[in-house]
Amino acid sequence: MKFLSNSLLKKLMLLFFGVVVIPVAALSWLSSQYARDSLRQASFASLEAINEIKKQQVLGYLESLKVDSKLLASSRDVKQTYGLLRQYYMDGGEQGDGTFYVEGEIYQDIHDRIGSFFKDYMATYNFRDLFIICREHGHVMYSVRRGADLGSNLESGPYKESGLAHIWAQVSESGKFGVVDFSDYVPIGQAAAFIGTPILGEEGDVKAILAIMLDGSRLDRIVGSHTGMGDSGESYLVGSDFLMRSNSRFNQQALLQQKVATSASQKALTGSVGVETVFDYRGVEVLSAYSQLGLNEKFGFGFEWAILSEIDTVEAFAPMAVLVSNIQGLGAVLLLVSLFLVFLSARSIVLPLKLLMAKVRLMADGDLTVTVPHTDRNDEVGDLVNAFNRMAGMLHEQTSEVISGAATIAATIAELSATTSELAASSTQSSSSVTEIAATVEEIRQTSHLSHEKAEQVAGLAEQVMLRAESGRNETAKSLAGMDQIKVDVAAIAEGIIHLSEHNQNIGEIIETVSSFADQSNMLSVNASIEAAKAGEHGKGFAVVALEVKALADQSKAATTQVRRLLGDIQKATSSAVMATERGGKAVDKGVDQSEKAGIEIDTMADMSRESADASVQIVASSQQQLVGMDQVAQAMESIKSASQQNVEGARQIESAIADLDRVGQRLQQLSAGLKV
Amino acid sequence: MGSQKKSLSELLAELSQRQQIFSEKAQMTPEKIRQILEARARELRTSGPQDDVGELLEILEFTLGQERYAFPLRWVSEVCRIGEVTEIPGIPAFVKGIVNIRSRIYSVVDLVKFLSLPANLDEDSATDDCLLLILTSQEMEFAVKIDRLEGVRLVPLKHLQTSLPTLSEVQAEYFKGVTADHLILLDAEKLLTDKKIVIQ
Repeated sequence: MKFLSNSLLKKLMLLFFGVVVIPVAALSWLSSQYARDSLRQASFASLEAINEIKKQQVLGYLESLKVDSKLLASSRDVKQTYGLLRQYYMDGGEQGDGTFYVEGEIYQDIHDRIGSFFKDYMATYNFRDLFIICREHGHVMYSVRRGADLGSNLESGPYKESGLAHIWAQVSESGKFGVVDFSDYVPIGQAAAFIGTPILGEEGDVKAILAIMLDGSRLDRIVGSHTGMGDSGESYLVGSDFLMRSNSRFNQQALLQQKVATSASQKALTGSVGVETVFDYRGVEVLSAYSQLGLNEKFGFGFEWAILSEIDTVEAFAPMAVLVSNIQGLGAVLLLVSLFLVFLSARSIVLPLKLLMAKVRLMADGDLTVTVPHTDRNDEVGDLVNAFNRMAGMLHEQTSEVISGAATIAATIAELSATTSELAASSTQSSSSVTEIAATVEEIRQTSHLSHEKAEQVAGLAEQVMLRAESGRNETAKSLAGMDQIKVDVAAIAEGIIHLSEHNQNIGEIIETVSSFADQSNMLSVNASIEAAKAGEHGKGFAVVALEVKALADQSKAATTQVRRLLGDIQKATSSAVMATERGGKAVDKGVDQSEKAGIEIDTMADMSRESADASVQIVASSQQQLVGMDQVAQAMESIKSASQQNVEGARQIESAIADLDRVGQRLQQLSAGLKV
Repeated sequence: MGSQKKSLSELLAELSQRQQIFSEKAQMTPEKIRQILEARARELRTSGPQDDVGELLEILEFTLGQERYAFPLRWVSEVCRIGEVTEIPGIPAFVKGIVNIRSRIYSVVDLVKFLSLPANLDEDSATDDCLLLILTSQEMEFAVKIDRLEGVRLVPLKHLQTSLPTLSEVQAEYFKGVTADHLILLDAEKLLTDKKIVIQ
């Protein structure tokens, strides 16, 4: 790594090279992967489509075979043909060994008469052969091609294990359309499959079997067409014994010969549908799409085929190789171009840096006058060079200022020194002033002690005032109660006076009676006088008595008059007493009112005195706090005192520090002398 | 109360004092009463006319209307108070009616109308409860309605003024004299013998 560490140019080139190569390699690898996946998916998709189409074609072909053979079997021609052959049998067509005699002229004649219809039919449908077989005995009663099998007995003859015998047995038993898979058929020396349809009689019973022999050619044409499948694409059918049921593109004799035991064919025969990459029967890697035909399910055949469509992997992935080689070529070109560009750009960065380095070294040696030629480059390198120029200029300028500043500092320090001396003197003075202030504060503290005591006294007095106000309130309540009592008493007085008035009236009545008594007495005295006069001399004494009675009556009368006058006076006095009582009652009401007002006033006074008591308590508390505060102030003054002494000390220290500063300033001046500006 | 100068306590003291005095007075003994009456009788006896005034006439003094009149006592047999006077139709206006006194019927003469004296202001009140004098002679007796009875007194005849020029003929006929204190003395004897009063 050492050769990397000392050259920026090499480092940059290596870095840029890596920056180009790694993405190119990664991109080419990614694109080839993607291309491979896409190609595989596209190929699989087309193979699946082809496989499905061919499967439908095969199924369609088999369906048409079924329909056509049924139509044929139920046609009048077939029935007539069977009638002729039956007639021939009844006429002694069977030989002793159980075979059907087909050599004679009679049979030849019958065969000729049937002849053309079946031949035309067979040619149209591209069948290998067409048979009519007697259900009852298994006689091959008719064959279009007249091979070795014609006339043989399928129950006991040489072909009793052949496919034809199987179809006869199957259809005879079931009475329905049936198919027998490919197998080697000896009479024609190659593989053949058979289709069988029952020929029904008048009552719907199976009289005979119409059998059609198929070779592989027609299926080959359907399956084997490889249009759009390139050079290696093919489709083929496989039976459940893993032998091919059609011929291959690469093997024209594959029917029932070529074994295909790939995993694709195995899966297809178990009923799966899918795609897979496998090694086929040739040992070549292919992409394979597989599917089961579903013969048993669709037609009720007793066997099953699979259909597979394949293409060689090499052919399928051929476009990818082209892509990879293109990417590699382009990558190489890109690499060369980028190397050249990298060299140029790295060089354009590194060269100015080297120039700058030389200049910086000069500056380090104390030369602050260096400059770099101005550049017009707009990139970071250009900015760096120009910034370096500015920096050098700034440094130059600032250092100049610093040097002149150092000189100024030296001068200032000299001034400072003088000022500090003054400061020391004035702090000594302030120290003595602080001592005086401390004494004053002590006096204030004493005074506040005194005021605190006074405040406590005031608080005590306020408390007493509050108590007095409380008792005043109680007294007011009592006086209110007294007023009420007075009210009751005044009412009693009024009642008494009214009572008195009533008595007065009674007395008046009595006096009236007394007055009338006096009148009557007067009258009596008059009558007595009259009687005395009548008595003459003897009545003289009686006349005197009468006169006295009269005088008594007159006095009584006068007394009553006097009493009446007195009663009048008493009545007047009573009236004025009643009025006075009324006034008294009103006065008492007023007094009650006043007392209530006074009570309210006293309540207010009590509340206020309580408030003032509270306030005086607060005053005591605050004067206490003030006292504490004054103590603190006194302490603080003590602190200030000691601080001012410290100030004096500090001023002296500052003086010595200024002396140190003076030395530093001189040192600075020496240093600036060493700089070139 | 306030206008009085005396204080309440003083008033109370005075009141109790008076009550005491009153109770003392109320408990008058009979002998004390007797003493008072005796003192009064003595006074009466000594106050009578001591000097010789000539012949004295006993008269009965009464008030009628605004004036005082008197009859000689000789002709008055009784003074009484009667509840109601029964008015009778078809008799002269000066007869007010009749009264029954102790089963004797008297006619009541209204002197105001009979002698054309100054009328009483309140005449109707006399009907309710009236005071009657009964004048009696050998031939005649009737009741005279008076307003108020004054009493019996002695009048000296020589002081009696017997003639007044202002009296009418009728008045002069029954007028006997006027005393010094303006008491009019009527002649009861003449009234008793007068034919005008007799109406039966």
